[in-house]
Amino acid sequence: MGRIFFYCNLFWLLFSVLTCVEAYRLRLGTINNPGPGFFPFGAGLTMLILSLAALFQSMARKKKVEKAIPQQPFRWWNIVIILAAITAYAFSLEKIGFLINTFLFICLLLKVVEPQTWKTAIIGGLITTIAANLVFNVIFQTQIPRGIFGF
Amino acid sequence: MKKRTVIRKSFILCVTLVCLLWVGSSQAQDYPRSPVQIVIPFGPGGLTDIFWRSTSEFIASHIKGTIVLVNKPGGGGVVGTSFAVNAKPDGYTLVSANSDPLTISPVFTPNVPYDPEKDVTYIAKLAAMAFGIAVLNDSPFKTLEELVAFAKANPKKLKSGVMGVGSTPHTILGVFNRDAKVDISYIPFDSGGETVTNLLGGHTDLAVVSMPSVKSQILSGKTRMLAVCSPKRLPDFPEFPTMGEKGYKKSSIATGVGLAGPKGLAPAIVSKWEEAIETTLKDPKVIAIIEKLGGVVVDFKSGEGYKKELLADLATFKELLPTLPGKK
Amino acid sequence: MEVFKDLLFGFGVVLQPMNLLYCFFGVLIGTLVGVLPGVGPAAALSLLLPVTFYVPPVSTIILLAGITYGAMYGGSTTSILLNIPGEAASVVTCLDGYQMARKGRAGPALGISAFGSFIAGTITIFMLIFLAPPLANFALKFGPPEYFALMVLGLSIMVYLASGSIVNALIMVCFGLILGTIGLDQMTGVPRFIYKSTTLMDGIGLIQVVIGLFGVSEVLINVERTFKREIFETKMKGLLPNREDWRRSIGPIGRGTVIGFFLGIIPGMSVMIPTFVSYVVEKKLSKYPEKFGTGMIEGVAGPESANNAASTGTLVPTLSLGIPTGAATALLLGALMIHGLRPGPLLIQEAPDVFWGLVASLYAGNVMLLVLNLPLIGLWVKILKIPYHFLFSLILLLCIVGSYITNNNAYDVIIMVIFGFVGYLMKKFDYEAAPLVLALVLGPMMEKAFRRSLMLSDGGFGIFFTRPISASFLIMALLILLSPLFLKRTRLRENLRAGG
Repeated sequence: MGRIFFYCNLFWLLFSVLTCVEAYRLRLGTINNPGPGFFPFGAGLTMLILSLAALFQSMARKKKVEKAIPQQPFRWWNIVIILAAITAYAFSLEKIGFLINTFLFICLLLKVVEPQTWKTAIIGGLITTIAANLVFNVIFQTQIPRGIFGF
Repeated sequence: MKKRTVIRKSFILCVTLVCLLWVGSSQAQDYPRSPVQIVIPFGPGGLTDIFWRSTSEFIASHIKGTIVLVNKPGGGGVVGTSFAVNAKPDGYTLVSANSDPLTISPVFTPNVPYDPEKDVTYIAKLAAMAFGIAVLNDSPFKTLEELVAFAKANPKKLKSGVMGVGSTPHTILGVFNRDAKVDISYIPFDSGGETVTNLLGGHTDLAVVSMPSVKSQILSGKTRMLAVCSPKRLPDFPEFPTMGEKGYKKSSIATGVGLAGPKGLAPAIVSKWEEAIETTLKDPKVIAIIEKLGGVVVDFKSGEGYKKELLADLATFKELLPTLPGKK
Repeated sequence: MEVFKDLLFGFGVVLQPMNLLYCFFGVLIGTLVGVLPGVGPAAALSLLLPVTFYVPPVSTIILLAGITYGAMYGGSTTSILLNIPGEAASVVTCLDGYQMARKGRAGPALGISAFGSFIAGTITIFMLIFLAPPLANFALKFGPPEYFALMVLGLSIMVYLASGSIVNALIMVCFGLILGTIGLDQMTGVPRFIYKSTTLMDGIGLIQVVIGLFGVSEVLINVERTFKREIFETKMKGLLPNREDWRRSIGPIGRGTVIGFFLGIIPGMSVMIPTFVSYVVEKKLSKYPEKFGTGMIEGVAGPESANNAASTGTLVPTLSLGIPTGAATALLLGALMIHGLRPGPLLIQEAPDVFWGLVASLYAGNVMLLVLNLPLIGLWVKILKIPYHFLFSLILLLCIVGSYITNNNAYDVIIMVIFGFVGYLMKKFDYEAAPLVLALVLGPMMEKAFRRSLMLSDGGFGIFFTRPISASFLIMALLILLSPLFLKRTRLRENLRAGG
């Protein structure tokens, strides 16, 4: 488990180096007349120092506590599906429109993440879509896109 | 059985096609058929936002349609403007065409995703907003000349608050510095309100702000204007001289609020809007509302007229860019 | 006393049936708006602006004030129930409020939130009346150096905010500072870390980050394994705060009120900062600081009161100087201006019915909020009874819509997804979100203040120390940063060890 922290700190180290490089390109200016790159460079530098310190610590000390053995399988695919679904929703929103998108989204989630029957998924999708329409389009009059079908 | 369904289906198809064609061709006649989206490239509560929310109902009634105002703030107006001018030119997505994103941002900010000359169809100009140079009431400078004299003798000593970066007030200060041959340092703030607050607190010596931001301070006697950037003296504040009177005509830059759309917008749609806006701006009720904002003056121009004005400004700013403080 | 006579006059105005109705609608709409993440009071106010033409000025103010208060309270509701901050200021409420909900104590959390807000609002309104002019003048003394020093002080309290490893928290702070620089540099117009994306031009949206870090990541954590046990404890332990809750909350409410009001007066101060300060103060004063983050009611009572108090505080410069301090107050001013009223010192003289009507309506709005929301607690709590395998999809939908609506930009949703994933990883690897968020908010303000100060002093650093206010803040910050080393040596070492 201690190794995970090692990799985390390595990540921050790389991130901070990258930041410093980019910030340098933005012109640091002088301490009396800081340029756009000054502040990000400072923050990046601080992060560099901190991650180095944490890195050494994680190497020096061994983590004594064992992580509890999980009882249930780790369903990483749920995470992936949810993130992918939201991303798909975002990209198709302006083409397909709010209502259809919402319906598909809810159905997908209900069916896949915590498997329900098709009936439950579709009913859930419908209820949600109708409620969402009521709340967002009627009450709030928000300007969520209507898509090519006009609704 | 099958034959009948085939006939039925093709009949429906034909009717649909005819309807679509008919609808498409009458586009200009009964435009707008559905709500028109006008993008406001600034956040809610800003002057542009309040301006449109105060006037859109009246305009909508004259164009016989519904206007929906959508805020898309960001990048000093660039985000919203870019969104609208890159949309489909069907007349249902328009944008509040403010001067700054169209004349200053393309010059000052790199990678602006539109060309103000080629990618935009200008519909009309609605109003102009005046800026001015403000000082505290107890400031030692009673006139602009005194300010200039002091500034000449003490370069870099005076600090002027400026609202916005890559904005009209920023440019005004730059041009003024150049024409008056002085070097007044510029301190940029994010908004008119912030600029005025810092002036009131005495942290800056003067401020270049829009008239609406500073109106209530003038009326309560806390501040006064050394000069206003407007072609004529303001009706609300006739006691303040204009920059032109003082000999700094080039610094007298105003910012405009108008309406525009993506390139390729049908001329029929453009003239519909021009007419509707012109009529609206003649309504005394609307004029009263606009003028209550303070320092905002109704200034109707046709699409062509506005385009000419903006492109001229754009050319001026291109020339001025190296003089802008903060741009090294 | 003059003031009381005027106040009574104001109440007379407010208590007219029409105005009460406007108040009710304002609070109702505000609450609905607040519950929806991403839609802040500013958006609601601007949508209703045309309506205000046909409505007399006093009623307009009453309506707008109701919306503002309602929105604030609504934001807390989703924070507590779903771990989705309705708006940036409600982030802190998520920390302990949501945990209370998980333990079946959503009712008391919502209740103490309502009561705390009410008490804070009432007290601060009186402070507003009596202290507004001198406070406003004091607030004006805050120039760029003072802001910078204050921000440094704000970041230094981070040391006490972290529950776990301090090194990790500091890394989060740096991360937040760096993220805060994304966008067009406000001072030179130079794009920083934008990489040709128009969405990022104005920086990473705070709301999207916060919704992702808190709302989405929570869902992800919950679905990664089959949930045999309920996510929310089904046995609701009471709907309202009990005696014990009240005893523990009185102190935080009082302190939160004071902290919120005085910090809120400073023009441009985000309402979020007083909530963080209040949280840290309560944690520091508590006998069980390590329990913060698991459902301590003090962690809800204090920040919620600070939230409301700060909102009233922001009215101080607005009303006495006519300077808007944010989108909501700007709209309020705009509405006034359209009606021909000039906010500022003249307002009291020229339109006393409007001014006192406003003050009285603030109070009425607070009362209305309580009256409206207490019964609703029962309803809100029922939402938690929806089985999680359905509820989670609703939560995600709410997150998506909330992220989209701020700017009507689909790419904002992508940002939310990214931070949802990042937040999920952070939860697994023991990195806290709160320091990140605070740095994200403070960073840009701090940088601007720093650069402006140097512009004012032509490059000299002395400016920070020659001005009394900024010097005192910086000294305080230094003391706070050094204090753990002297006072709690062992705790710091423990924390550093834990971070390894």
